[in-house]
Amino acid sequence: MQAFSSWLGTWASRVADMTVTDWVSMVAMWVIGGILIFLAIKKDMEPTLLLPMGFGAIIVNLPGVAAPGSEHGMFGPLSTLFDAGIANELFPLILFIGIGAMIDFGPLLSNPKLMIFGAAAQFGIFFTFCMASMFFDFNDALSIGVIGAADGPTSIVVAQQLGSKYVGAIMVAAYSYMALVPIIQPPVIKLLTTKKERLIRMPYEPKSVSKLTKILFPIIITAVVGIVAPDSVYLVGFLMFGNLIRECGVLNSLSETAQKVLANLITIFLGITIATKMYYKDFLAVNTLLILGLGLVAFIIDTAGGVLFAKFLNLFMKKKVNPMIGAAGISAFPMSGRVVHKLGLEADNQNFLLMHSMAVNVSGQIASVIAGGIILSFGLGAL
Amino acid sequence: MMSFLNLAFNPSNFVNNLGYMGVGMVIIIAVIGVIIAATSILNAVTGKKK
Repeated sequence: MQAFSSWLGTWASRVADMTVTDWVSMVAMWVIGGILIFLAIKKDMEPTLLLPMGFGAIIVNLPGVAAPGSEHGMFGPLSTLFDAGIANELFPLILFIGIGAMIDFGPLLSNPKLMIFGAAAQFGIFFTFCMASMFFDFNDALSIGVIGAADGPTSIVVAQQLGSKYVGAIMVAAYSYMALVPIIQPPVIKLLTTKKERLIRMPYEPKSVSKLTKILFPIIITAVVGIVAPDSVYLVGFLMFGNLIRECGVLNSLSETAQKVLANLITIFLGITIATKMYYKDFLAVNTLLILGLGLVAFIIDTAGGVLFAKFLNLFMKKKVNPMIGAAGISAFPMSGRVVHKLGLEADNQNFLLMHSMAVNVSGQIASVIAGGIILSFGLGAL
Repeated sequence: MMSFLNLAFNPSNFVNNLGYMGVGMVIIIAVIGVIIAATSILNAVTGKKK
């Protein structure tokens, strides 16, 4: 009985200051966590991230879990993980090694001109930055713009390095919209293309790519990007390091580990650790809603930018490209490439765009990292 | 439930920052252009001759 009253006393002292508003807010966060888990399990939307994020959101919003007196929430081991892996950008960078090891640049190297679509589809980042700058500080606006990179690790690194106050909302927006790519992109693509354009076929004529090219490619990319935007050299460097492990041909077991064990391990920690930024006191704010809205704008404008650029190029090209592949230039890999392929088949069941859309999609991965570096340079005053 | 923070609204910032948009897009297209050129050269140099 004494133990019970002691426990009750401790618990009561932790929740004593909570108002009705606090309780309602916490319940709202449980619902949000539940929705993320539902989307992950039932709709198979980025389950590797949305599920840990949803579960973590419930943990950190249980009454009395946040350390007493901490306005922004201190959550024991979760906060320790955040400091150890996200505050210093270690988790997203290590995850990039795994992502780099997963990417096959072969189709892109076979037709390098497709890389230009990856660049065009980063327009949403800069447009959203301009939009966000109407409401937020310069560095916060830059960090919000990077949601348009459709690349979680880049968003985290940029937001952290620029000291954004809205890291949690930015992470949630970046990962949630990546999961929603199959819902967001098709209406935008259909709105901007005619049926005739969607029917354009692009026969895949692969050219052989030498092993030497595949090995030198990640090194050249790292060198070029590192020279132009030194602040992003680790972003692109870790991604390309993973790819070099894959392509060198003598580190197969490391490549497999990076693709599977390393990426999975970091993803587990990343998802649940991000949840520390979903504490109701920080998350349930008008600013968060605004950031989620701006994130959606970023994805829509990215998609539109890619499609419109492809249409623009078609004005001058003899051999027309299917403008839908421009939309795959956002770096949400491989969802965006698959969305474009599916839309091609929807227009004509013999219109196979997969190899082209995937090539553009991986170029979007490279371009988004470069864009992240440029944004970082703006924020740190280097450009 | 919502903590209604004081949201600043400065529409002029949109126009003021358009320069960053222009510079950013020019740099990214230039860098990708360099990478395309380098890759094409690599392909040409290392590709098998028929």
